[in-house]
Amino acid sequence: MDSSLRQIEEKLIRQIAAILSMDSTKIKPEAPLHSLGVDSLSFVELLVFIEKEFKIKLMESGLTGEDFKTVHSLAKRINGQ
Amino acid sequence: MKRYLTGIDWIVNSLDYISKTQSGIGNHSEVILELKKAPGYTSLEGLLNTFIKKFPLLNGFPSRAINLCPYWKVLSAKKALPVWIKSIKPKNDDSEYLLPLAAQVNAAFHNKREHLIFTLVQTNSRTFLGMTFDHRLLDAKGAEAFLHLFQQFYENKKPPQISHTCPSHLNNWIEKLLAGKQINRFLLNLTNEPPRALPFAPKQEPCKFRVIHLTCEQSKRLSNIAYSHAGYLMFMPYALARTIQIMHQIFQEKNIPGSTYIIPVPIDTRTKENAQKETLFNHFSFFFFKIETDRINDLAWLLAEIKNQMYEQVKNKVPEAIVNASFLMRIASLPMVNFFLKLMIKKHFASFSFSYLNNAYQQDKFMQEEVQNIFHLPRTPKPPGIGIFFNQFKNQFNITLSYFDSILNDVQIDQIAKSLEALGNEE
Repeated sequence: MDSSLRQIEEKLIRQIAAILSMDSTKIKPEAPLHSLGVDSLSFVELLVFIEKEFKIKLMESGLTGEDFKTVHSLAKRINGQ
Repeated sequence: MKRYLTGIDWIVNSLDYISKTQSGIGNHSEVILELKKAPGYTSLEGLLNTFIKKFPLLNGFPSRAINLCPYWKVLSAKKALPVWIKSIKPKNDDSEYLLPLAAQVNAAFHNKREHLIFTLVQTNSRTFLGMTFDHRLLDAKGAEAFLHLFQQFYENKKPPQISHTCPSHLNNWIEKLLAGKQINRFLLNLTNEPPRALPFAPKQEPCKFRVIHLTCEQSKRLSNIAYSHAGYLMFMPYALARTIQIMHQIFQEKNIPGSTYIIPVPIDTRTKENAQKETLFNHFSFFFFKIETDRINDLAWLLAEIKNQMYEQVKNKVPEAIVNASFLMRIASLPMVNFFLKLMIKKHFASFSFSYLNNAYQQDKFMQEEVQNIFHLPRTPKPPGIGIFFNQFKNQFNITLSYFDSILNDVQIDQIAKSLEALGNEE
């Protein structure tokens, strides 16, 4: 895995942990977001973070399940933009 | 002993005051468990009384401290009131289960220290246990979580570890004042013209209910269609969009003036970490959606509009600002809060109420009996006097329509109920 993808993953995990008030070490890159307890509100909070951090507005560009299947796939989507 | 009330708690107390002024009945709701079989009455009563004694807050009432901060006065556990469990067996068929449950949510509590009443309804083949609760003490998610804790207590006999303390929040005034300024501007912009709202008679009348229980198959279909139209984790925006479209038909037929709808949608603010600690009292904020009437029938546009408004409100931290700004209201007495709310929102702040609740009761059983479904009967405040509430238990959706007779007639309510039920049959 290239370093930029890993960095994106780490940033996402830290942010998800902050939004959900949970320990970041408990979040695995393979975990689907909904299984972590992400709901509509926390999901939108994550999208706002992605816009601020990576300058990508995912709310407008479509929200497919494939992109958000796991933290890893979301990081790949951001990396591919 | 005291537990300071937050600004949101104080607004809920104000809604309770308005409701009591209008109808003599407070801002109540009821959470209902459909069980496979009825639990033994004596053991249920005994265990509930033991459990409730662990929560002296349940027999408290609001008061104001010397620092002017409102608080919930907590009495000694020794003074705990016995819990009421009404047992009712409707004489007719299974379809009459709702009447005694609705009657209870429309009844006043016996005194100012009572905030919970249980109703056990047994028809020929179905069993329901309703918990009517005072919204000042529990919000909808908290009510389910409270029953969840009861079940944990039943299973392991250990009392739940819940902290009832809450700081007075008499600090960070600059932050609160800035939030107040932000929310004032936001609400002025929201209500620069009166939204569409249904007229109602300001008379005392019971709140009525229709409950639509979608089957697992219908629920799956609804979930899939929401996913394909609105996207991942976007069920709430889809349910809201379809509800707006259904209500729009009624508003059009009644020739209600106005070119926008305003719908406040409560959102839970508990973090996963604090979910158990924050079972009691109110832990929510709001999104406010303002929808122009012109393009409502265009579902793609409507969904994009809702999602965009949700995104912008999260980005501008509106839900947090509502919570912070609400602390400023605590200095005012309840009649004054009522006055200010009416002034700020020009009497109309909602075309109708809407909420979506994902289940917080995460147990398969209640005592030893299998839980088959959970739904809610919330009394909608007047105005708006009509609300549509989605909730999910396991893989099943329920939709409750809460309304007053002076708002819509039976034919119009039938029309809404049929359209809501049809959501589960769309391809």
